[in-house]
Amino acid sequence: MAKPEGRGKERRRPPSEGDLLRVGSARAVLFSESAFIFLQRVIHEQMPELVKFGFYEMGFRAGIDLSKVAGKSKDPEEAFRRSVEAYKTAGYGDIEVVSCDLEGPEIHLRGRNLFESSAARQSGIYPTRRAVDHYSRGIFAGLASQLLGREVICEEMTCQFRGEDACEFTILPFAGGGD
Amino acid sequence: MTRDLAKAVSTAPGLAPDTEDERKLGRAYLGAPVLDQLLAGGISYATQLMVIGDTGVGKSVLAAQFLYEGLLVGDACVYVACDEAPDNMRQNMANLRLGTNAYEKAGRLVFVDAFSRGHSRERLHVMDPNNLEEFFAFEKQVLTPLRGSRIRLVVDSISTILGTLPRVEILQFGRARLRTLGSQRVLVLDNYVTGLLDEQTMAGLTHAYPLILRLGFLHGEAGMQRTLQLGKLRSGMFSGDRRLFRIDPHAGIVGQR
Repeated sequence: MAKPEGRGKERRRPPSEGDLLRVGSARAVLFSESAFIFLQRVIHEQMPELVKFGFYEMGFRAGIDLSKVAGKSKDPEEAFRRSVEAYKTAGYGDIEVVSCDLEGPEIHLRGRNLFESSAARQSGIYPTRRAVDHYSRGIFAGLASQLLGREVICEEMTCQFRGEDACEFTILPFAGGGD
Repeated sequence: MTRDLAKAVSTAPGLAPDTEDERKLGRAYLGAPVLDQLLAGGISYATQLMVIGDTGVGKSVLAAQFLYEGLLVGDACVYVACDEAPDNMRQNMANLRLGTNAYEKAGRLVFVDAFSRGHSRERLHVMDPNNLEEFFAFEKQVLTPLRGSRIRLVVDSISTILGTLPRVEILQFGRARLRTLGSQRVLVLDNYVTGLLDEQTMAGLTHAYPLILRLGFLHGEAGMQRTLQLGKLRSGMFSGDRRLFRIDPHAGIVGQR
């Protein structure tokens, strides 16, 4: 079988630091939307129960890494806003911080054209219109948890995939203490 | 699931949309993929589901998934806690990575404490849930402000409040309540603990529900396993095969292949 062009050459040259994509100090990779949809479909087919929890937790870890992009700041709200900007810059979608009370804490975000809502239209895994941005809510919870030093949770209260105007997120402490 | 049951479920009164109102509401899913696969095409919002099972088999976990599904699709959800304080359900939901605070603040998730009686810290609590008139009236009072939304209601478990009452009273209450909830297009999940009500009472009650789910334990060579069986008793049909499942703290009821 013919070797795909250029593969052998790539294998001989390990990537230098400059070739690697990083988020904060963590190595990162880019997935195309179609690759993400494929991954989602496979998980849905093999273990549909894990779609919500799995993508939320995956996002939570990404959020912790993304929070490091903002660097150290004496102003946690500024750091949170910078991290959210990093989410936007990374291509996840258009997002804005609507309100940010870190004392509560209670944070509200509003997004449009988020990648999961877009992917949901193509993946065909959902039988009805619903809130689908589990990875994104995990990211926002991870960002906020890292900056606050305690775990908080993010819920998507409206979703464009459900036919609403925007995807709106609320970050609050866990009820009942979390686990 | 046999094709016959799938057909029965999709066309049975109470499960299939039979009015313009129900068509507008769309189809509902239970939130546990192992069950939703059995109910291909979903169920009507006027459906009442009776869940019968042993203590610890996973009824409350299913209730958490059912409510989670409702919140994702935009339904208003009511959880009536009869066996434990509502914080236990909040914790179950937190394990699934569902934060209840945001939904409670938005008025889309309502917890009713029918367990703690005089000691409740909840805003909504029933002082004497064994007084069926009081319970019925309270349930209506909680649901009234939610009209205009699609509503899901869970009573966990309703057998606890019925346990010591005379059969005639239980059956009258059960039929009247389900008729009212059905006419209001409320999607209901009522949990029953196996053995709390006598067989004749259970037989009478099951006829009032369009959809029945039995959860149980199976003791075999592989040790103790959980099983589920979905049925529609009015048509005399029950899924022939029992499905095995397990409980995952973060995913809920998980079907085993």
